[in-house]
Amino acid sequence: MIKKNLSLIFATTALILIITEILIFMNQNWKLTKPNPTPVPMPLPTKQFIASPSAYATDAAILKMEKDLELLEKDLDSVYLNEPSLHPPILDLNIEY
Amino acid sequence: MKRLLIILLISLFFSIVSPISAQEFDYQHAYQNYLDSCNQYRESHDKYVIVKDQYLTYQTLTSKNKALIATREMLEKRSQALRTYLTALRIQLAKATGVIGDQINSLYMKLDKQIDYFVKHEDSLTSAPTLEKALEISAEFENKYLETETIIYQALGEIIGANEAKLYHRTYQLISETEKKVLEIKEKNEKKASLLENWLSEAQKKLGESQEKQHYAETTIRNLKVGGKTGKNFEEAQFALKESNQHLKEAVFYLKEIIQKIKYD
Repeated sequence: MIKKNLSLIFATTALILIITEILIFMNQNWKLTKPNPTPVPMPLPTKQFIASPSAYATDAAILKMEKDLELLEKDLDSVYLNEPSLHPPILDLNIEY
Repeated sequence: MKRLLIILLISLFFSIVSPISAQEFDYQHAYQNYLDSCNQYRESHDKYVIVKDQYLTYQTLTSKNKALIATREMLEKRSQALRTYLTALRIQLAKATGVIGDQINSLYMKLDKQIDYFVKHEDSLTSAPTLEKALEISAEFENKYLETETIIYQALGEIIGANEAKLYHRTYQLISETEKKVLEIKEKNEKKASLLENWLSEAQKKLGESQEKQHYAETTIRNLKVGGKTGKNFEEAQFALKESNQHLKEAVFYLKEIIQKIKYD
């Protein structure tokens, strides 16, 4: 009788242990597959920069310089430094029979 | 009186407009001639390859005569392609450099001599009686090409150098104008002027770096020698000019920031 009870207790304990193991494993697996939340870019708190125009804001010379700088910038981008159209023609220089 | 005034106005208009547009027209015309010559050369070369193969296969007198005609035509077209290229290059050189210095003048003379040489070369090909003679004349062209190639790279180097130099001078001028403005500001606001002076020195530093690269490119181009690594050296000079251009862009970027600082407190 005692022997029967002992084996019942042993079987119950083993069953509880197995169920616990399964639960732990499932829990770990769930944690692994759980998708991480996508980081959402948050705007940085910025101080609004309010510049007050100086006495030179409408200065004709300054405005002209600003315009000249824009033109110069464009020309710097488009300057011909490696135009392929003017590279030497490809000629056969090995004419023999 | 009225008619005289109209004629005077028209001639004044053309005296202002024509030097630029005529030069541009000349270049476009010369460049189109060069493209046409290149196409003709390619076509004649294709024909030469076919006829040459036929002659090498059959070795008959008829096929040899056909080979002579095709080779002669291809060699003439080859010379014309190079000659028209040199003409377009000469016009482009005049357009880019403007004021003629000793270096550019000597380059013009070299280009003119080359063009003359190729005209004579084409004449001699027309009268070549045999295939052997045509090949002999072709070998002369091939030897001459070493010299031509060096002159071509010298001219190309001068063109791109002149283009970059113009941009350098415009940047230099804008820095000078900004400097004057900063001096004006200094009288009213010394603290702001001091900051602007520091920023200006950064822009001037970039200008100096650009000039160094231009000098390097100029020296490299002017030291190109016949039989040397002309193509490689030209690429080196070209790269230095690209670096110079980058420094100018940075200087302009700084200048724009300086102008903004001047405009706003």
